[in-house]
Amino acid sequence: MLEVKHLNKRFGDMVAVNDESFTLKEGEILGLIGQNGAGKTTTFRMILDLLKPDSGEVLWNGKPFTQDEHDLVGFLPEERGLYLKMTIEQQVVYFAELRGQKPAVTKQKLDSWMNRFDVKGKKTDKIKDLSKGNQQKVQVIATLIHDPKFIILDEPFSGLDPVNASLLEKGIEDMRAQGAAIIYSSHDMGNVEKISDKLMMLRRGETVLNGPTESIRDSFGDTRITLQSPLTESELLSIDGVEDVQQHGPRFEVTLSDAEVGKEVFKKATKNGYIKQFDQQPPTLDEIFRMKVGEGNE
Amino acid sequence: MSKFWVIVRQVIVKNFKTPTYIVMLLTPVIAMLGIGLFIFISNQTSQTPKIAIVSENQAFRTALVHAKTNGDYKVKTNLDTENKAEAALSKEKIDGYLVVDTKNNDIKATYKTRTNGNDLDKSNLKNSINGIKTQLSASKLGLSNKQLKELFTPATFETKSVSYTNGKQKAQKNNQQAINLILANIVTVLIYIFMLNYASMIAQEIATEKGSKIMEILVSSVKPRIQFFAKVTAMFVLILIQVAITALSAFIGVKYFGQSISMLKGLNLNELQPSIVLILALFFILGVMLYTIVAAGLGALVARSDQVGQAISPLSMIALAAYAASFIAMNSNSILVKIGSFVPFVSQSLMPVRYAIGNATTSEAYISIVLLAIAVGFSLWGAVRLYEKHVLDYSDKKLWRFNFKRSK
Repeated sequence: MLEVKHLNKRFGDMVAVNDESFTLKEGEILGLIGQNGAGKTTTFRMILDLLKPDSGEVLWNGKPFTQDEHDLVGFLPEERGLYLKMTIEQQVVYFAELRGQKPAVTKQKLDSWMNRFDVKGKKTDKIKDLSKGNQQKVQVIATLIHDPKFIILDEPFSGLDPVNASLLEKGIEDMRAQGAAIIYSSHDMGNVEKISDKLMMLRRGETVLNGPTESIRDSFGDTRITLQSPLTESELLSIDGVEDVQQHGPRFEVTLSDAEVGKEVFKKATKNGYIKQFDQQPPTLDEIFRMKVGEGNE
Repeated sequence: MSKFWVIVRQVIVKNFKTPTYIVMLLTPVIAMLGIGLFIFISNQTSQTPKIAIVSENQAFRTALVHAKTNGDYKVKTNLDTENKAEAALSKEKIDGYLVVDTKNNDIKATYKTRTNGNDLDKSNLKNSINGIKTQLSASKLGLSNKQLKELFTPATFETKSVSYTNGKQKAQKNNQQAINLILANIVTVLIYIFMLNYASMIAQEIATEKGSKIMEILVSSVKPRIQFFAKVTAMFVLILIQVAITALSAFIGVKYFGQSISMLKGLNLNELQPSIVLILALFFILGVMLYTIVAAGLGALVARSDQVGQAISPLSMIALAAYAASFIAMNSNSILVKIGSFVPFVSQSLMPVRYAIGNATTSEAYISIVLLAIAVGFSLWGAVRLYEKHVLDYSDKKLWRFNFKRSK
């Protein structure tokens, strides 16, 4: 289990990370969200002992997590880097060897990993001859092939098309099933919502959201209704507690000040009987994200 | 295999695949083969010239025909008249013929040669003619062989080389100083070339990994300190491989072709003094180490590989200045040269030359070596620190500030 306790880091006058704490168990996925400069990379570097925090500590199974434990880490940095002149096999074998996995073992596993991520190319192809997407897949394979117990993926989905993104999602879920603790960062809320067990949002070093994904959404209350009914925009706006109405074709997206107002909306919408759609939910993570970013800019 | 050796192996293998390193490695071999080939070809094409000797004075002719030729020419004895010789020359059977006229006790020799024939080294032939003439004159004057010998014994002339160490005279083996200086010059050039090549190689190596962001994966797998030592170690292995190949080609070159190259004529490998070889070797190893280590630290400061030249330019400038100063040190023992020969970064070029020409004592050379070794230690300590601190730092300002601080 990873425990991050009260991490602080400043660069000169700039607060990079302020009093950050979270825990992550084996078999859990934590999504770390935040804009550029929110402190994601600094957080990863402090966890990996590449950067000394000003205060606070990082523990793995109760002991300080240092560079001596790095064989159990899989790290995909935000900016990808591979040796362009190496072949796929040489590259993956080398990175795995630096994590303590013998070349023979890596070579044995490589074929199935290449199938799993649908890499177009042979093991003997040079990295520089691969397409960008395939290079990224090789990088992901090099990050995961030594079966790490603790995985950090910095923006793993950036640059992947939807098909490959879902291959990666599957890969991440497989690693979770094998008992790995996984942290990844993203600004694509779709992926975060789908695969994260926990969620943390950073804004300029401050932790603004932290907890299980569902409870974060629930904490905002069921204040969003998607509605298809005979009610018009002005009729909706006249209901007490309706803050905003947006029309998308036949649908209305209604924002409420309180979940209770939903009952009133439902009553009015169904007064003539059948309606096509009434869906009351908490705000999506995307909305929460934009709300939180907006708060910070005020 | 430990991660340290995994990285060492990787750096070595990677460089072995780069054309630049291979070319660098093979340059001395190619140079040696080129010289060998050149000598081989020039030996093959210049055959011993065939000549005829013609004279009305049969006694003189017989004496000359039987004189020692030292392999300079071959005499066709059957061509004994000018007509026969001329005919043979026109048919290119011979390369030239000599007509000796001995009328009136005046000996006049004329050598007629084809322009497209093999060149004749005439000095030996002239000596033979002079020798026979002397003998003829001597017998006419009634001189005995002993008298003749006495008459022609030259005065003796001998050169002794000495060097002074703390006011005490020290005899050097004949020729020794020249050999030492040649050796020191060669080593100084090699130090300069190796320093530049390997300094930029290791800086490039590190800056490329940093620029391509591979560094992030490397430092999260292996401690930066271990990586640094592994890369420096790999560089030294590459240096040793090149030294071995260079030394081997030099040895083979001197052994087999040395006598055909005028500069190396008289250079006898057995005459090398072990003491100077050891001192030169230490300066070479430590000097190249110092520059390689500092370059590794500088390479970690830059954000992209195209900034490497800029980062190590102070280093290459110092190396060039030291190399240029080594020429001054050959003719001057000024206070600046003296001081410079003890200052690390410069001493590796100055002290070997000063020591070779006898301007510095053995103990002075060793003091300079110790100072250089201390500098290597300090630079290692500093470069590791730089590497650990800056290897993930991508700001451009650092380099400027760092260089500015250095130059202040």
